[in-house]
Amino acid sequence: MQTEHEIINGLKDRRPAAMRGFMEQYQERVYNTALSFVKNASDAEELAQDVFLTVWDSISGFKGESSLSTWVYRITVTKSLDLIRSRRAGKRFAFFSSLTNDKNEIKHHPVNWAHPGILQENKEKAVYLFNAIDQLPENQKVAFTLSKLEQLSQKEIAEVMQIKEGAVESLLQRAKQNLRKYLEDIYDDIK
Amino acid sequence: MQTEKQKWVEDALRSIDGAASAKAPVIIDRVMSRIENVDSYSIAPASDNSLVWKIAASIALLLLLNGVTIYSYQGHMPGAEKKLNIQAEASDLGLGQSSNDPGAVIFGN
Repeated sequence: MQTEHEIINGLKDRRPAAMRGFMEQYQERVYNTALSFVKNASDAEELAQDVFLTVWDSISGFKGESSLSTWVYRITVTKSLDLIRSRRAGKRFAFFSSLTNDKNEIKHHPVNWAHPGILQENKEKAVYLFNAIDQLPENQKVAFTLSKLEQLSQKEIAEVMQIKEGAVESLLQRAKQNLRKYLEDIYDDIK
Repeated sequence: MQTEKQKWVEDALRSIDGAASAKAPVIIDRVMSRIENVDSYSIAPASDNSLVWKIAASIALLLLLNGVTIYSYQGHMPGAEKKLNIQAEASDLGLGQSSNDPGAVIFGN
């Protein structure tokens, strides 16, 4: 396994073997992070490829101010959020089209998705939680997802999001409060 | 004492803890092939560069020849012939000999 320093130097020297080694180490992390946000396996796969190509193209601009892992997480989160925003714009367009044209169907369905890494006995509750996460403001969603799914520390999340550690703590608290409210409503509906 | 509802909510909140461990599909080969293709385009062999120059030179030569053809064609246009004939006639009549402006001869008649 290559050290972070060796990976960065290898990528800067544009050595394909270094890139291969880097992807072997990071592909699970990148794919799983993308999957947590976009909730679709093929989109996550495309996104992961895009992240690696971006790293290859932009490594010369990487100044080492953060760790390579933080930088890669940041690229992955940014690209995932971009995809979610573009999907939302598409859904909004479909909704407005449907107002003027009866034949158009709104392609928005509530998320019925749970991360494949979730234990079978937790799947049902996880589906509700993922729906709740989708209702969160973007910064709370990022902090909560990185904390819970990726198990990143508050320090690491702060580096990825480029905010202070204290701000991460407050984002996580507000995210939990909002999620509790949402889940309580769900509980009232289903029980 | 935690109610059943509170327990359910807290369990739901914990349901995704550390779940991001799905096996990633094999994307390495696809990324590598794209990287190698892009790099082979960006560092083109010398022969490719010379081909580009040959094409550019051919286009420039064609444009130059085309310009010469248009210039010669204009010399044989009916209007141009008439102008030349009038200039010849004026010259035969001894007009405009003192003028260096051929236009002055034509409009003078």
